[in-house]
Amino acid sequence: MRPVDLVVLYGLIGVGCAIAVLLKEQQNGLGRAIGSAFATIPLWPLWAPFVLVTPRPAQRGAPTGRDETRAPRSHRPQTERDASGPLPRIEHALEEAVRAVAGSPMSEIFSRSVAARIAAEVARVAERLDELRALSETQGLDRAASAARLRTLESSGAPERTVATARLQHESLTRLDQLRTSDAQALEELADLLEALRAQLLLARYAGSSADGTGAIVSEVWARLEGLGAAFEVPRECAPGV
Amino acid sequence: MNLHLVNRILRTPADVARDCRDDRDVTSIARSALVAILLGSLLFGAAVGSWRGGAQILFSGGKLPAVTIGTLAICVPAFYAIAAVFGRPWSVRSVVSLMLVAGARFALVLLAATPVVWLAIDLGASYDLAKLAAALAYALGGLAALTLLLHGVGDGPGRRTTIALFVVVFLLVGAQAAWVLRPYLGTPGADDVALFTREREGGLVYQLWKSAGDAVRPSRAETR
Repeated sequence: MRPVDLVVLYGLIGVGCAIAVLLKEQQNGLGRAIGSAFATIPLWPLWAPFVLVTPRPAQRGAPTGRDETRAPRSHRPQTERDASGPLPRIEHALEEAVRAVAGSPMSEIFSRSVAARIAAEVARVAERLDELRALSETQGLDRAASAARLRTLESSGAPERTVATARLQHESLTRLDQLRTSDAQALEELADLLEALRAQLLLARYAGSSADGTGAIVSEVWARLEGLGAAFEVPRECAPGV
Repeated sequence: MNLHLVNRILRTPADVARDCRDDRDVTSIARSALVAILLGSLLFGAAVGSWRGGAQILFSGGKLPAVTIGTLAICVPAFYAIAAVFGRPWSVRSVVSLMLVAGARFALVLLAATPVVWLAIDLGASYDLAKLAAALAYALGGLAALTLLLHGVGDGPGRRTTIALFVVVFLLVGAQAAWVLRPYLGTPGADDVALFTREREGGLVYQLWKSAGDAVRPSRAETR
């Protein structure tokens, strides 16, 4: 087979896949379907499996041979990036909200750039949370270990200065832990809020209802993000004093 | 392109690899990975092609994404089969998305190396130096992609064999694809710019075999 024949055959399969993609993706909007179909022609071996194959629920938690999937999933620490965590929820809600307002007057209230700014801010917060989580797993920064050490020192009648140092260490770690917990919670609430915003925008688009509440929700989202940002500024400002 | 995902591919490859394996939000991952691969390899190809300049920039900028995408596409069935044989019966979506994020990591390293390669060429790097710089960038990108694949394959029996076979298949296919679509820098001493080389030299493996033979028996090379 000559290279030209191979290219023609590849292109023909690509066109076939593109038609299938076009038919399947039409429900998500014609523009999106056409874009996806065009991408399928040259990239069908790598793109078609995602558009044409529907994932089965059994595929979740695929085996890796024998590694961590053997351990019950609930034993692994839940993070913001896990499927049920706030980050994928926020990304999904933002994407759908932008799509819902596309081409309508509401796109001025909630444009793609606004969504991108929110996503960037959320990513920054999530990154800081990852750092805090990594810190809490570092040797010497374990809150339970510091509490145990404080108890041991107090019960063994250690000098007051040693106990005071251990207490300060334990209080700082407790504060860090509280900060992480409260901000993880705030991120969860933000995900709820964005899902509500998405629902409101979808309703306004498809049912023609008023989008009066949208502006208020967007303002609330920004207020929550500012609150999260402010919470993260505290340790940095306090650091020299500690 | 989802910049947050790009950041994750670079900074927390284990997380992204786990998402791919678990078939979690892989469509969005694949979309961003494809854009990263196309953009990274296009710009790197263009920088490499700037050694000759002119049309070679366009040719190399077009050929390098073709090599990367083509190699990944050709390797999909082999990766799927190797993973299944060694105790990892993943879905096609999982295998393809894992390969795409590995490819995206590779392309992002190429993108990071692009200014260095371009600057070296702009400062008058010789053919050999430019070739070496491009090869180094490729090696760095390959290592970055391999790290992600190691996370993706996970622990368990057959891990080393799976990875070793992945690497051998990818190197063979990638090197042959790159060989077929050469030149990228341009031919030293030749003024014309060619999309493909006109010489018929056989495949890469044959060339390597011939070069190795010439190195062992220099007299044989002289008689040719």
